[in-house]
Amino acid sequence: MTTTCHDAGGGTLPADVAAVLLVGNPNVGKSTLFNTLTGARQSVMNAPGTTVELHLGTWRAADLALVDLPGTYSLVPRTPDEMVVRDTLASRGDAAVLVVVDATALSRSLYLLAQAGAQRPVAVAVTMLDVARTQGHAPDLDRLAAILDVPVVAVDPRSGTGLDALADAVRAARPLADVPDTAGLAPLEAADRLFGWVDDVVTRLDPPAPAPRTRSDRVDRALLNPWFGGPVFLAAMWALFELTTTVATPVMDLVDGWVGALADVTRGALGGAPAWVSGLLVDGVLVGVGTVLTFLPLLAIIYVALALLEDSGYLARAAVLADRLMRVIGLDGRAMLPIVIGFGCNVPAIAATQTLPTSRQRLLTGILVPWTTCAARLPVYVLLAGVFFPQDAGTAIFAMYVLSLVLVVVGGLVLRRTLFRDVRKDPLLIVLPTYQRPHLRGIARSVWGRVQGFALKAGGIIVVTLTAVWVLMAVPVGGADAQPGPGVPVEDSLYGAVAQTISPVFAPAGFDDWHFSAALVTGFVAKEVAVGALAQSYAVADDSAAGLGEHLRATLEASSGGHAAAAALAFMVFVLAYTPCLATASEQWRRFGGAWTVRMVGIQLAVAWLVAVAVFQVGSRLGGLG
Amino acid sequence: MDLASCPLDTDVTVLAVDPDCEACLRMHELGLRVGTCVRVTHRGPAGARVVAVGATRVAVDARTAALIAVAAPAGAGAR
Repeated sequence: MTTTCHDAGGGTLPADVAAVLLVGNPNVGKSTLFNTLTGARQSVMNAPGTTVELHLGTWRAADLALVDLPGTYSLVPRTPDEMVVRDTLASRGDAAVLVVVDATALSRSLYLLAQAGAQRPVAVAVTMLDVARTQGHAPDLDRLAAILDVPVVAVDPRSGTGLDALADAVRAARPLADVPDTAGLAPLEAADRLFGWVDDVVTRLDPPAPAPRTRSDRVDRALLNPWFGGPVFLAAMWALFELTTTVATPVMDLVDGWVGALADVTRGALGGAPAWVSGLLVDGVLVGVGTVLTFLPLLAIIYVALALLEDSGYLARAAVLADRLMRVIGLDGRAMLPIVIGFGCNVPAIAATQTLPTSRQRLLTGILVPWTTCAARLPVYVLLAGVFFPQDAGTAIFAMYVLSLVLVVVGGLVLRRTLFRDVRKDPLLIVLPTYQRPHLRGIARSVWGRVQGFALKAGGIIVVTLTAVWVLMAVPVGGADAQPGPGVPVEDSLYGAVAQTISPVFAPAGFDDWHFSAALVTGFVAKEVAVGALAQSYAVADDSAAGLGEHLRATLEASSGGHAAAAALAFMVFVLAYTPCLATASEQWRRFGGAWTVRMVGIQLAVAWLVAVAVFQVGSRLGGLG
Repeated sequence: MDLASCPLDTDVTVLAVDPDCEACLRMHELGLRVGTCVRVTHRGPAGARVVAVGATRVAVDARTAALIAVAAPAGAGAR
């Protein structure tokens, strides 16, 4: 079972966890090996004080605990992820290390091995041997083991080959022989000395030969071509966007239908129970569970797509292609993926930040994603643009998409100069893995683990919050005669009282009215129900746009002092910029922790309010938006 | 000659890496070190270069590639 414990504290890794540490370069198959060895017996914790994830698991065949550390090229850290690797190794001086070595990039892997295994028990798992054989560069592992004087085992994490021998190798782990002492040397000097050792090992193993042109080179000639690669990249991004909308929507609707049917059956079965019991269980708890279930197919689809991109090797190429564009806001080219996915749905977009190489980049992208205007916000734009800008509805909606991009870019620039000064504009320096055919079993295992993680962690938050919202709506206040339960009118409920309390905050934006503030509170739960909440608050049918439009116009005319269109535009802007939905916030909580999620919600609310006020104040002074 | 101006598909040897560049150590770690035989296999978008270092391929932006001085080894030619 996959569990999460993001707030675990105490040291880099809890002292009572006796574990083998799994170390390796990025993209060497380390995490695939970890997943294969531990199966579903995993948990995730954040390294204390960071958002860097450590995966803990039980390697049952070897009866060992295993910790999957972030991928790194070196123990001289440049990122928080690499610092966690260095600090974990330093704090666990006696723990055995299993170093995953890429047979196609032996020098690079041996450099990390030299840093990690000089003074502690170490065993080596060599991956990518099949690719190395294809390239004519497969190292002789018996000879490598003899030179290093540590156990060396060939493994294929995808098929599970070599895993039995790996358990014996870890038990026989011992320190490397003859690694030069680099204590007290400057990093560059230390690197030179270690690479001298690496070159010696590689030369004794197999004298370096000129790199032959590979199949990947031939594919890259097309996919990295400035004229051909760009359109292919855009097509891949378009396909990702379509997956979050056209492909996922019918599946989500199907699940939604099943949940609705289950709600009807449950309501029928609870026919004899008091109304509040039925309401709490069906409209509170079951609606929450249904919301979680509805998101699962969407997340599974996106996780599969991301795994295909990553496993095939295309993700690194996408990073190269989008690098120049994303560099403007100090992000790696891979940040383009979550941003694009965000225009379909923010929840999988937050999940897609996992493809970024460092925790700070993941966090920064996680803050920017909610400003991408997802499909769920569209009904709000369509309703208000149709009512207040009937002649220019398309332009008004398009303006929301333009503003969304502006928020992402400006937000990125501001955050880079404030909270994220440590995210450096590193030069583009990316290792391009060999193209490979994705391994479906491994993808299925990883997707299952990730979906399960969302359901258990983010799902719990969603169910509890939606149940709380139902309770707020079922509690009458202000001398209302109604009994507690599902029949309380919105304006007489505790929920309505909350909406009325916060409503004056929106006076400078022109929509100081409880109908609108209640819709915003509902929209925090899910944007797609904000329109329904507005209709419900006026007691008109959801699809009665004409009737609802009259109410909306009259309300905003009164609240804005005769500048209803400017107030409507300000409301649309607020909907664009504030917290997208509870599911997104829950996914942020799962990935970045509670403190950062609260900060993110605060930033979104502040920005949304400021921009909405600016839009109304400027708009109301321009004659056209009166 | 540097990696940015180096012709495609030609084996060259790294002569020097600008020691003041911010990613100097990471370049070392990825194999772009003095004495290493490398080859530019592609030109990518915005002047990026794909460099073959042994069996590894490393994408480098044009500005960084210009910080790596290279020379064709004696007797080496286009492949």
